[in-house]
Amino acid sequence: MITLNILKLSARLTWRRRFGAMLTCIGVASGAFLMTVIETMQGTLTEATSLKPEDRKLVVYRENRFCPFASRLPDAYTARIARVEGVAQVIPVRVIVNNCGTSLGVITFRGLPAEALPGLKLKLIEGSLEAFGQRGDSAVVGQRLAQRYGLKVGQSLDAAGIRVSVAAIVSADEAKNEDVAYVKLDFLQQSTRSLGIVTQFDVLVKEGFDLKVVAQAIDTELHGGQEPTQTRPEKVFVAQMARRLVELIEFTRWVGLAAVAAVLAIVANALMIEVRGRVKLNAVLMTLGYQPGHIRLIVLAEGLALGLFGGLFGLIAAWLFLHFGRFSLSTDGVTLAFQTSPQRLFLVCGICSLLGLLAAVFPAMVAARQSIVASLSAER
Amino acid sequence: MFITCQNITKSFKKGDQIITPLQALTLDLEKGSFTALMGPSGSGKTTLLNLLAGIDSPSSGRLEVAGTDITRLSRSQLGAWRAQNIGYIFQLYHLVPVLTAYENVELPLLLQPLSAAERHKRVCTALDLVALSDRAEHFPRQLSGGQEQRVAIARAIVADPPLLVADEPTGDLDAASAKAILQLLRQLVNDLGKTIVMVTHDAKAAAVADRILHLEKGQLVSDI
Repeated sequence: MITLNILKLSARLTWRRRFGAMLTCIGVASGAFLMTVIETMQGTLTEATSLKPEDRKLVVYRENRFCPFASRLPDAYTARIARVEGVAQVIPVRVIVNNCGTSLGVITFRGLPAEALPGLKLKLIEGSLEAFGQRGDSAVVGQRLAQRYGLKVGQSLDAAGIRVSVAAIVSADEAKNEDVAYVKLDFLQQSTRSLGIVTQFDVLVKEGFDLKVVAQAIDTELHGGQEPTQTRPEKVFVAQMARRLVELIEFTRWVGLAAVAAVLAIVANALMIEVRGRVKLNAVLMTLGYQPGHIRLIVLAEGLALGLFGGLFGLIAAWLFLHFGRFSLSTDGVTLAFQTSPQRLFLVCGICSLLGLLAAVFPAMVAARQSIVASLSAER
Repeated sequence: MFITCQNITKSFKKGDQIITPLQALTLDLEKGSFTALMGPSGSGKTTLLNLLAGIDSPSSGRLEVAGTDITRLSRSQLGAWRAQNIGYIFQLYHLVPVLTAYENVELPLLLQPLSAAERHKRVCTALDLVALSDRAEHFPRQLSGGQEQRVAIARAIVADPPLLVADEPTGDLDAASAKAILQLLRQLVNDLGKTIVMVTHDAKAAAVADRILHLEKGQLVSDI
């Protein structure tokens, strides 16, 4: 009960000097914002590139090629790949991007047979999937891409020399699949004067088969063909294709650490100033019978509150930024769509609270150690 | 005896010098008494008051207050002991500026296992006693000096400690307010049986007390 009373007192003292507390919270919120964005980028990268036992997808690409413009494989490979033991499904895909370099907001066209569309488990938001099958230049557009460019059903999308009509807008289980315009393979091949040519094959492996073994079997099967291939699990393919993104995003880890240090310094500095300004108040409280442990608790609770609320403000701002900004980073036709998760938000909130608490340890010790008599006669 | 000081000495180092504000002081005070401590600046009055209140500790000697030898208590134990036994009234009131009069008075009660309703009752009683019930929601900046000191007195008595120590409680007040405060302190002794030790420079203020002790150079020179 006494601890609760003291926590309430700490909250009251913090609230009554809310202008100063708010400034500290804004500082913490800025750090938390940065941390959330970086944590989201890191998390997205980890999810996109870390192979899991349940993963069943392979990507067949032209050997020694690292750009969709350079990977040219004959679509006749489809039947040969399908014959390899362990292969459940093969989808020939032509990928065309308006920018092959590392960039934000790249438009990616994925050309695939119309019958392969239901297998992508896309959820219709607007328009009609039947229209996709009826008209040659129709496209099914992922909602992230549609929202970024303000696309509506019936409008045209013109990029990379390709002009399509938006037949439907869809959502998908994975954010990266919402950042793509799906078009018919033959239309895309015609538009790019590459009939019979695809960029890659997306292969689904049967359960119980080892991905690497099947990948090797595919490459062995196509070894004597006109274009040699390199088959990799989808996430390994993404990790290798997006290596520039990986380097870039891994660099941001340092920025994240700087944000952590900033939060720590901001709270510690604010609390040290506060503790120094409250020398007399703490001495009065101790005269009234507050023990050093009570004074420590007041300062620690204040640090925790500043960290917690600053963190909350920051992560709410970051969530709004990422949710409505729908940012994605692309390179060589591989897209990483940044999407935060409740776990990441809780993690950042927890880190900020912990940092607030840690930052308060030294000021709390200073406050509790002060001499009552000397503090009562201090100038401030 | 309620307070027993035996050969109390307080000394500390300041640069190369050793300062001794109190030297081998022996003193007994009865429960329910009102004692005024007088003497020139540097005579050791406030040092003695701080020792009695347990916010400072003697360099040597024995000091028993309300049945406890407080020289043997740790810092935390002293805090808990002060919460039970001491009400401190400062010359400059030392109210917490961001808390209302009510919240300032409530501060000592937050250390006791009381329900919110019980705390409310006690705070209201204390504010009633100093005739400031109507100012409960005012912040210190909205009160006059005399009112602030009355809030400070309410804060000192709210936990019902047996000993009140007051360091020049009227030193910063006009004559009328000072008179009211002294009457209030007298009333606390007469009606509630509190023991009060008050430091003052003012002979008129000291006259309210039952006993006047004069200190000079850390030693007791007269006991009236």
